[in-house]
Amino acid sequence: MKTDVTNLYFSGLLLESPLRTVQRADLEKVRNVSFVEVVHGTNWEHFSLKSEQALRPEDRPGPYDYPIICRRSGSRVLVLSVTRQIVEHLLQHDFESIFSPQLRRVSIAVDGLVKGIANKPTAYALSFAHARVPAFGNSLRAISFYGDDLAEASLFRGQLDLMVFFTCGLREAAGATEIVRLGGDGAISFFMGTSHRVLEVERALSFLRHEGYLTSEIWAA
Amino acid sequence: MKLERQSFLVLERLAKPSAHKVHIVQTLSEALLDWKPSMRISPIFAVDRPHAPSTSALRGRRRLLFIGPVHPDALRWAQRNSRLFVSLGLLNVLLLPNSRAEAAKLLKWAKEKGLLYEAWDLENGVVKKAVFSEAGAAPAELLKGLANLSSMALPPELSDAVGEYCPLMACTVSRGSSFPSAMLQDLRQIDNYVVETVRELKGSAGENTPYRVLGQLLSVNAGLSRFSSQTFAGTSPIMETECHFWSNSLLGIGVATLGLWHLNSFLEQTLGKARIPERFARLAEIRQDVPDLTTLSINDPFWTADHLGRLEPLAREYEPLIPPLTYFSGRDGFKSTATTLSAPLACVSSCNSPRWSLLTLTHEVSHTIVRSVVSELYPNLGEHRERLETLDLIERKQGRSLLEEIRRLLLVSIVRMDDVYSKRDGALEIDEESLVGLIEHWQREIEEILVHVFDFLYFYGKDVDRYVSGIWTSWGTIPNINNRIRDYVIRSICAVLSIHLRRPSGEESARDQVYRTLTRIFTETNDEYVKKAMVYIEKHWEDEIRDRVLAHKGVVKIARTFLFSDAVATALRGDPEISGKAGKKEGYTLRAGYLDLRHIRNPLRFLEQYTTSKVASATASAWIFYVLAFCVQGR
Repeated sequence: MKTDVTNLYFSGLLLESPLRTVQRADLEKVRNVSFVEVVHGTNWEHFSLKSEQALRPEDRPGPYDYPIICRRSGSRVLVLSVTRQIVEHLLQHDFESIFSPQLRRVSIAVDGLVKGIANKPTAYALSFAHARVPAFGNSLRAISFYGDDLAEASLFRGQLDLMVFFTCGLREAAGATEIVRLGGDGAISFFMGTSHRVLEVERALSFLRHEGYLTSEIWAA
Repeated sequence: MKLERQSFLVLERLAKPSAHKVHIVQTLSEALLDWKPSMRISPIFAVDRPHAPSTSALRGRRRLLFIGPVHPDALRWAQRNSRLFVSLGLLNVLLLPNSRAEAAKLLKWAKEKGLLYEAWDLENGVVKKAVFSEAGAAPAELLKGLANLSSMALPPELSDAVGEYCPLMACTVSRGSSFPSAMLQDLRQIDNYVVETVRELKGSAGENTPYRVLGQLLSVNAGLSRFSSQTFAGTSPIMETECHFWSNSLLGIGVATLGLWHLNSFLEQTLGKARIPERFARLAEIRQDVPDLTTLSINDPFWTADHLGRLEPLAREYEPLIPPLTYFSGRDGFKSTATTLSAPLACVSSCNSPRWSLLTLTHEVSHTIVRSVVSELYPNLGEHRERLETLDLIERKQGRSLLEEIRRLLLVSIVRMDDVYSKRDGALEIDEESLVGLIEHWQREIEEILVHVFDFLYFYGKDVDRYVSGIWTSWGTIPNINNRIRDYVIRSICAVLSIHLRRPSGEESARDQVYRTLTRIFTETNDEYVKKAMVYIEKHWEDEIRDRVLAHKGVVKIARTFLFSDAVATALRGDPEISGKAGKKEGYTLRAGYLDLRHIRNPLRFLEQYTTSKVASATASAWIFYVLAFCVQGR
């Protein structure tokens, strides 16, 4: 079993339990999932999912071993694997029997985040943004922007009112590479060059929570 | 929480013992075979149980609870010890708890949440005891206002209508205490509008006449009466409140009316707040560098500038928007007036299919806005001075302001349209009398073209396939429209022409796109009207349609350039909650048929995505109303 989770691209979802704290034991109850270790120097947990069925395109026969990394915090849990489809599979087929009520996605207010950063720069800069442009209907549906600090470009700022952002990438304004990509539907992805990256992701998520960009859709019983 | 198949809850009054009895049947016909005069019926939908509830579900000693209005997700926790159903009534969640303790827990929860509730103690279906929450009272100042209105000395034509309005509004507001506060606010605004209209009539020599006010009041009364009856039937005490929409006579359709209200409220918050008619009126302030619109090249950037977007509404306070009363009506169908907006009753059980999709309402809303714009655009033909100025404008070859120049383009277009239709060769001699006749004759057609372009650009997002399918499918529900097919073809091509204006043969591109979609629709539906439209295009493009479309081109230009704004369209069509790739298939993460509480911000985009089924389904339609009623998040 590969215990090293560095140099992998992780994608997944930020989820939330409507009623209770998410425990490590919950995740260990998932069929064919076993705990591997705590990611060194962090509170992130590494699990392994064994599957007879390919959960992403594979060029060899099964069984397959997919790494899962998680960060639990109260009722919220960030679950990632080497493709988002693996996490979607867990959500649809396995988590349903463990969590009742089911886990829900935590929406990320990407549109507000991008426009917030563009209008009032923060410690994070935008490295990527993907927007729909609804005014133009089918004539022009979407636009992508790439760069080190999109909000510094007047071309970008000048068209903000016509764009509705649904994916973006964040990097530290002080430099270095992109930390994380975020989707409005709770999707999160990043490249883990070293285990230090998960700490950067954690800080970025704290920033989102603090600024009110994580929204819950939960009813209290 | 999966919404499962439909059953029916039936209530009847027993003669001996004097009580009510409730039972569940699987089909409407099953109930009809044993129908009694006192019976009432409503559809209910099981949640997370694929099998229909058996008739024995209410046998023995049971407690049947009704709680609402609430998204069933809030009661997910109760599924452990209760069987759960949902209905379209305002008390929308029905529960059969497995113990009295569980029933007590549920009622306590409903009280804590400030929800309406009613509980029936049953013995083999016979209601032995009923307890229920009390509806709140109407605000005292509103009642005082209604009392003042009712005691006002009024012309005899109006007194009956006011006498009807006052208790109707008092009843609606007092029973609506569980409504969202914005909905109550809307009702108060409608009340203010009525009070002001009647007061103005009393005190002024203005343009309001008793009969005009009477017309407005009758329209409000009709809308309010239907709204109230459909929404509050089935609220406590359920046994005493009958809905006259007979297939839902027991529990009413409060969830559906709440959904319809949310849809309209979204339109108010986006299009209404954009104040298009007020911005359009401000084009009169633009007096410099006004080009000759009748000769300006279509490739000039002037035609693609966002003129409305640049004109922020003035800082001065506008008249408040009057939120229309929303209701369902078999007779009115899709219809808008200044104070009402209706959708057909068939939508309640079939709105998951394009034929009865609530998206058709956008056409009605477009009419409301375009009517206001047109009132700015047309001269006042009742005034001699304005008639002379209009004749002068046609002669002058240049408007003094942008608004006047647009008016000139409109007048020139009307003359062209008349030339083509009457096959006139020489120039038309226009005097005051013929001017009035000409404008009045073409007024309806002009409004229709403006509305079609407006609807296509704003609501259909320039998606030709969806637009042509949408309008021709909804026309398919209207009987005897054979004599209108030619006009409908022209309108369809004109709307699509709005995205081909800059092409050298734009009208032919528009024709081809419309024809292609009609062909697809005909292949799928075998619709007779669609076939006739296709044949008309095939046979009469050269000798009739092309000239008519070209004559309409000026009106299309007006709609495209001066009624459309990129900024307004962004507000109307955007939704940060839409997910998915940037390709064509974008959408919400909602699962059709599942009652998960996930928010959406744009009900129009939601309807675009989920009202495409070829088969009408009561269950799928109920799910759509649940999303509209409980998942639309305010802006």
